Amino acid sequence: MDRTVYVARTAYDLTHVNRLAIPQLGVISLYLEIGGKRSKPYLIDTAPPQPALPNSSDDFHFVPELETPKIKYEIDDPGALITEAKLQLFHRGKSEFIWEKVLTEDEYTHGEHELDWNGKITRDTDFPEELITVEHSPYKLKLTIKGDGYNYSPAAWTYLHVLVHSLELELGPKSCLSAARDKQIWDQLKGTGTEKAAIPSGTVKKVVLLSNIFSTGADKADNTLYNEYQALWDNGPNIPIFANIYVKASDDTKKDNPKAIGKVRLLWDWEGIDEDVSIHFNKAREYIADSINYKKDKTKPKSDNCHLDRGGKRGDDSNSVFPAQAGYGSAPSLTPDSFPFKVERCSQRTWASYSETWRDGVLKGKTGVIFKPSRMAGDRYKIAAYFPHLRKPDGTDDLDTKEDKIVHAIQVSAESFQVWRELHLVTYCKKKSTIPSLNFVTVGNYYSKAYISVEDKTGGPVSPMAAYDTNLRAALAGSVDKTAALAAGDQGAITEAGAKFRSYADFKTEYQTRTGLSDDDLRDWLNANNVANVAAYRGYLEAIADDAVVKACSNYFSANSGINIFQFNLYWEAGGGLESGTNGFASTDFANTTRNKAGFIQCRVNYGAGSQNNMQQTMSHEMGHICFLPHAPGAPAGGIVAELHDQVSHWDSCIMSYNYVRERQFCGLCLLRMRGWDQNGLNSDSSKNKKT
Amino acid sequence: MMRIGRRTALFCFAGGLLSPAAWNVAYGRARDRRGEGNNVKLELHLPRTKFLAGEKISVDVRLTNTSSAPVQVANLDSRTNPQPTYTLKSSAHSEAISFSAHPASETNANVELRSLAPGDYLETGFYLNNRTPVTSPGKYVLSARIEGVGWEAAAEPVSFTVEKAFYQSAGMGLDLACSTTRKLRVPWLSRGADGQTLGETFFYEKRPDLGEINVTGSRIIRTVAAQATDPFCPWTNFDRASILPSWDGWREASRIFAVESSRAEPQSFDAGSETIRLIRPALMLQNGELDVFLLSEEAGAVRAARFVSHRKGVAKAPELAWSVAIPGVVSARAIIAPASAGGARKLCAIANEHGSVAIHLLDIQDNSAQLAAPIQIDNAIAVAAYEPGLTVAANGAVRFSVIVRTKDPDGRIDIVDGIVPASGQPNVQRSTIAQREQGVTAATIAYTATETSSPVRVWAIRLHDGTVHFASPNAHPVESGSNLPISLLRMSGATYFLTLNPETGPAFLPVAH
Repeated sequence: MDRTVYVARTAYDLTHVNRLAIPQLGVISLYLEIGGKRSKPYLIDTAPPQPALPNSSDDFHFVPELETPKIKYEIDDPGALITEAKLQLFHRGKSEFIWEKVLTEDEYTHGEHELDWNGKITRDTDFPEELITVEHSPYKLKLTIKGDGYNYSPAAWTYLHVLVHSLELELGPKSCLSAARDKQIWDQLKGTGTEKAAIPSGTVKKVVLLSNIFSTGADKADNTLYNEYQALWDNGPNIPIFANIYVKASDDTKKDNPKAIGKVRLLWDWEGIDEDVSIHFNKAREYIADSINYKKDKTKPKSDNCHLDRGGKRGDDSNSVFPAQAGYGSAPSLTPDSFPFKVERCSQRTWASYSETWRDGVLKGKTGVIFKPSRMAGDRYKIAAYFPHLRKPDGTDDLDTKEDKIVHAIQVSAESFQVWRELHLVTYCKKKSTIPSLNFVTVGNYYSKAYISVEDKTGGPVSPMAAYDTNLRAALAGSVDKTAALAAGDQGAITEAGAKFRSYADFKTEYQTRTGLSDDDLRDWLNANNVANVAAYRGYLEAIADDAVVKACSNYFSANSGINIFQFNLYWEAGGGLESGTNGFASTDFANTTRNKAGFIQCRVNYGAGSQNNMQQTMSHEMGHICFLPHAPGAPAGGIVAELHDQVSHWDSCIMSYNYVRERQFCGLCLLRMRGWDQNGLNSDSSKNKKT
Repeated sequence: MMRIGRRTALFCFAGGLLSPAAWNVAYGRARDRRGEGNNVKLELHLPRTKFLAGEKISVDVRLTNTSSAPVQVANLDSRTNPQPTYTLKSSAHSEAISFSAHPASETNANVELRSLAPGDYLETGFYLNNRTPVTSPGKYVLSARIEGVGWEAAAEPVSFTVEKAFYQSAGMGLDLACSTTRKLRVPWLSRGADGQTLGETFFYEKRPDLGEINVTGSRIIRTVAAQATDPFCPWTNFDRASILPSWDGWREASRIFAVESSRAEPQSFDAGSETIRLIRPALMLQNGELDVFLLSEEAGAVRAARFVSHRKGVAKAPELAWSVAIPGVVSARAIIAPASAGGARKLCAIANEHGSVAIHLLDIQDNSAQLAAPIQIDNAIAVAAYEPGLTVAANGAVRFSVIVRTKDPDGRIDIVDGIVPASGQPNVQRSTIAQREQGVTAATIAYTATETSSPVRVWAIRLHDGTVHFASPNAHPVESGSNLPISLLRMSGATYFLTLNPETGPAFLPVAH
């Protein structure tokens, strides 16, 4: 620097000294201060050292807009030489300042100064809310001066941050879902509470998949349940989970200012929660424990949820629990039926995904994912969102690893979501009100072991069954022999059974009267049609009931999807004390049977004390058929499919058997099938299902 | 009704809650009552005294109040009632077998009691085979006893004989596409020391969705000649219980026999040649007429023999209803349409003609059969042991399926499916079901019997090694165990294969459901 100075010479006869003093100026310090906390000031190396500023640090932070720290600086300029001074704000990764304040003359006079600053800066695309944000934190505030003199400290600077305090999850808005079924789940998850309360914390939140999918015939052994359930719920429901990001105030408390977040990413991760197999009886526990253990140590994240090979999502990175989303640009309002945030799968942690926040718009400061658990009932998820402690200038971080645990991050988790299926009971007809009612809660307990919720939508039992006699007789119209078998009187009133028939002797008399057959011809007819003795007559009546009672009950089906229950006290009875031995009958021949509507006939009340089979077990058995379960070995029965039940040597009293030697419950394989598992991968020998 | 813990009461007596003197009085009164001729009477009844091994042996049981006052009894038919207790002695076993009315796991101590008025009775019936194996030939004696509060009764034992059976052949009868389709009949022939027995086993498809088909009874129709073969029972399109007669039949060399009831004399029709073959199934109309269809390769013709019931005094002999020349005919199948579809009768005859296969559809009238223009299938050879399939839909469309062998040396097995609408051109498709014909000794095709509007077509082939393979990919091959014609039954949900065990008789094996 060249400067011209004028100095008087010492007079000829004098000895005094005239000295030239170089005029100087400089910045002595610059820092921010709020609540006694200060940012640490920095000067250039050649500037004279300054005493350490008490209570200063490099992690000075505040909440833009909600807090207003003071910018404090001291100017050394006794000669008023400064001609220009300005404050500039920089963020990492960018050499150009993002904000500048040119100080006025009053603001750069010699001495200490302070300015209020709440983080407001000039608006641009990176800062649409005119505030510094988490996105570009940390920031560098720099004071630069210029003047006519020796500028021994032309600049000072300090660092400040906008920090994330914490994350909080909530159920995202319903409007970002498109499918009605997903919206139903949203309603169910939210209930009457808030979106935040919909997120579990240390509790199990059921994700209930309504799945009134029923057998319509001979489809109990061919994996139809798996295929139909897959067709209905595909890779699982869509649940919007949003994260609110809170900013750390200068006193380290949580503040909510979404304008101060900017565009950042959260990593969304999940882990399984080991299934509580203690809910099962010993044999089912063993079977299920073996089966859920399949490749448990080979899949990430570690979980005993249903494996890909069994139709689940564990081990299937291509079928993410947090699927990629295109999202759409930030906007002042949401686009209906569309998910707003961009979500992309992690490159290393392939079961996890990143989501981006919006900088502005109605969802500024938030981000989220679609949580898409598998459809498999019983699968349980703990989901977590992570904000990295270390973020690179390009916004990436070090969280995308295959390590089991994520460290160095602010996190929030939801523990836990568990998938359940839901079935509806839609009609409950009782032939007479005097018939003891079924205990649906007890039945529900059998199904809860398969994580199926049986919901009573019947409105309670209805009895009597209006016009039952008309309906029953209409079903037999045109058949002389069958109508001859049916007892006279109002079938809706004379019996609690599905039908009352004549005694064998009375039937023969009635039939002979109606047909006019001779004794010989009657004998021929009885022989030819397998009605020649009481044992055969019982079978004859059973076949009539299978046709007529089922047809009669078809008249009482609900229009709604679900299971219709028709309860009698005996399937049929006849004079002479004959009675059907049928406990229940899940016919697929009801006229109204569809894939979503089913019915069964319950025709026995509890046997009484000492019985090994009660009517709740019968109901559970019949509903099991409706839910695609064939008979189990263990006692003589038709339609046994041994390979779809636990090995007899392990458990021979599956509720789908007729083995009443002890209380029956669903075997492990039945439970897994009803949970939605692919039966093709399951062996009745549970030890073969266990693969490590 | 009331509940009394009967067993508990008896236990209390024995347990000394009453004084020894009182116990003696109570027991003594019971014994006295029995000795007096009792207040209840227990009876057993068997339909016959001779049964073939494998037959269902029905036992009817009756308990009558023979006193002048009501008695408290448990319902015999209630599955919670453990009584009566039965004892079966047999010459085949040194030890008597005892069993209760119902399995212990289903019964309970507090069985429900009811009041039985004087003169009234309770009854039940069961199949002995369902309670205990009765398969060994020999003499058997069945007894039963029952006890209540203050009474007990023992039935007069009944004796019967089980004779060794040698089931030779079987057929299948059904009521097509009506309310009784699930009631099936399997006529059979069993060879014994005294010639052959024509009998019939009844089946009922209890659970179509589960593939559960049960034997519900059996009967002996009559004794037939030693050379009897080909037992048959006609198909109908209505509930055959609505009429008499109930035909069954068989053949003896060139003669076709049919009998309308167990007590009627058989009628016979001389087909003129021992080489003639029966076309399955015979058909019965609502008027009771029975048409038995015959195929003569020698004559190159299909024919119908008609049997008329003699019940109402019409002693008309069986006669040839019609005959249609079809040169080269080797196999055929008949069918009747559901009554709701008009009840038309059709016959599909397969012939080798001029180096190709000709599929002839016949529309059967009362006394004639109209032959439609044949459908030619090139590069195909019809085989006598390959039986076609046939059904008629409600709209009158005829569906047929024919299994053929291709002409090349390593011939394939192809299946030709066709639909002939009531009016319009046939639509025929051909696909391969086996790449090599070698080893296929028989084949058959079945359409859904329970309804015909949306029929499912299934097929089965038997190989040289006796195994039968089925169309359904999830159906496991089975050992047929005989060289009988393959009988396949397709119901609403399940497909069944008719098997015949020489010692125990017929059974339906679910092969896919």
